Amino acid sequence: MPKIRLSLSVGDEHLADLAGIAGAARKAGMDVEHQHASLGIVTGSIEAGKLDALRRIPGVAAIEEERQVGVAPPGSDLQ
Amino acid sequence: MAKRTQRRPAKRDEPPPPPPPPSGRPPGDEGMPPPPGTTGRYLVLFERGATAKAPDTLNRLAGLSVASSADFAGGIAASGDMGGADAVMFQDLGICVTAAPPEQTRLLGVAAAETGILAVEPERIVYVSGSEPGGAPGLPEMPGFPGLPDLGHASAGSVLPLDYLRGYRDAVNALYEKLSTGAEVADAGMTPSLASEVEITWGLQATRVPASQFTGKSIRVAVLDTGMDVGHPDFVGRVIKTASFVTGEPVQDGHGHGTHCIGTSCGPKRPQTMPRYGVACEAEIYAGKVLSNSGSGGDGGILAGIQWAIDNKCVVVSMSLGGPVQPGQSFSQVFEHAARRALLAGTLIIAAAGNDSRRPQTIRPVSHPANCPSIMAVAAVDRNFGTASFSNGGLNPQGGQVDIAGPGVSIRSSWPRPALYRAIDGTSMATPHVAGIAALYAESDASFRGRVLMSMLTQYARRLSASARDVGAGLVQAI
Repeated sequence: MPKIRLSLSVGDEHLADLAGIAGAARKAGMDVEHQHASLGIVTGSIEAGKLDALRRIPGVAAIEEERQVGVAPPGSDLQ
Repeated sequence: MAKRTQRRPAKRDEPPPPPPPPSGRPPGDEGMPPPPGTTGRYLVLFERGATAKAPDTLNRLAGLSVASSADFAGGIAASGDMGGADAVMFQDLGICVTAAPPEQTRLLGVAAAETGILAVEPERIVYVSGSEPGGAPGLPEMPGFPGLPDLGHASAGSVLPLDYLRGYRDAVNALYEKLSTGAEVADAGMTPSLASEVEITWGLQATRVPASQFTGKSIRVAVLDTGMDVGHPDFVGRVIKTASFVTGEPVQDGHGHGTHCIGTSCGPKRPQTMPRYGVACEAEIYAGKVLSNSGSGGDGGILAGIQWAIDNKCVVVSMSLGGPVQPGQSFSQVFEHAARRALLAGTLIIAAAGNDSRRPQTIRPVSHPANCPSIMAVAAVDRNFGTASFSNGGLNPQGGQVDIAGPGVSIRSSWPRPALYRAIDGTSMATPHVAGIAALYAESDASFRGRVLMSMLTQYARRLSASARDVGAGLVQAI
């Protein structure tokens, strides 16, 4: 099953327990790549079918699939 | 409560104050009434950090006895009573009100800069709105038109001065003439008057960077972009920290966009080839690569870059990047969390509004992540202060507004070797103008961080004729 890349943020009241929530996310099947303590955000990837399990972790405030952002190619005059 | 009035005379071992400088006023004019609209008292403004010594300074320079506003719980302005002192100091405001004669107060105006006195000006008389003397007192309001006098039952000349009516008539006629002939009504203070770009780019001129005494010294500015040409000759000797969040690519800029944005925000005062194009010329540069050499990247790399900037105590994060957003689409909760927590940590994120519009036919909403309420969204204006044709607009509610505008058309800045320089367009170019200027504000006052810094930028922005939807608070201005 293909994995989707995602970022997950925790509620203000759970900021101190980011590591615990990241651990729970791992147990739920997430491949945790980064934990950003100041931001209260965990990034990584997971199989699409396991997203619901991630949402049920107490303290998880939002889960978003990774967006691509960008700028125009180097040759463009509009950047 | 004992008054803390300071009545010490000038110290005896100091020379007496010099005689007042010559002025245009005739001798013996002390009894003259103050100029119209003023009270005869003076306001003395002190810079921050100089207020504690202000009473001593006033005493030393002009022999004034100074009371503290804390001694007058009931207020002193209404009565003019200063408790026998010559002046009252409002410590919290850094302002002293003095009733001393003009020739004594004048001594303060010629004082040297190290006294901490920023300005001395006459105290003005202010009125409750609508109660100005010389207006049109006693006239009833016209039904349905609050504030307009009802002239229906009176001979106008008998209740309104004819001069007033004549002026009103002339103003309306002038307005009619201008509009009917198609000429634009003069837009005082909102039209640019820029010099050539031989010495300084138009963008720096329009944002008043050359006049600023600040350089961003010791302020850390993170630019999350395509990296940087760290060997560019204009950046020799600068503090530059780098990190790449793009797998398999070093921070060296293989695109050009990042080098251009860093040039605008942090370029030198005297580049190898003029004109000057950089704002915070002594800021510490944190070049984070979150976009690949082909110009693309994902949320994960950007979030990692923001975390890196916070870890390194960067005051400003400049993000000339984004992804399109549909009308009605909400902002990212994850990025809003990140931005809000960054603000609490003293890091302000400034991002490009996006280039998806094709005005006047098409206006697209502010991009992700600039559409987050806690991220500053920057639009682009041209050198006539008009909204750039490509600049996105504040169409979506809940943070989707434009917060401020920066120069974004024909912007010259650094480009990777061997080209060295290039002029391009985009909200990507407007964003680092705001970021660099944010560093100037941050240097000017250590309390200008996070939301306070954001507020200072918008509060001091130059209001434009363009709508708030398109340029937010207006064109960013250096401090």
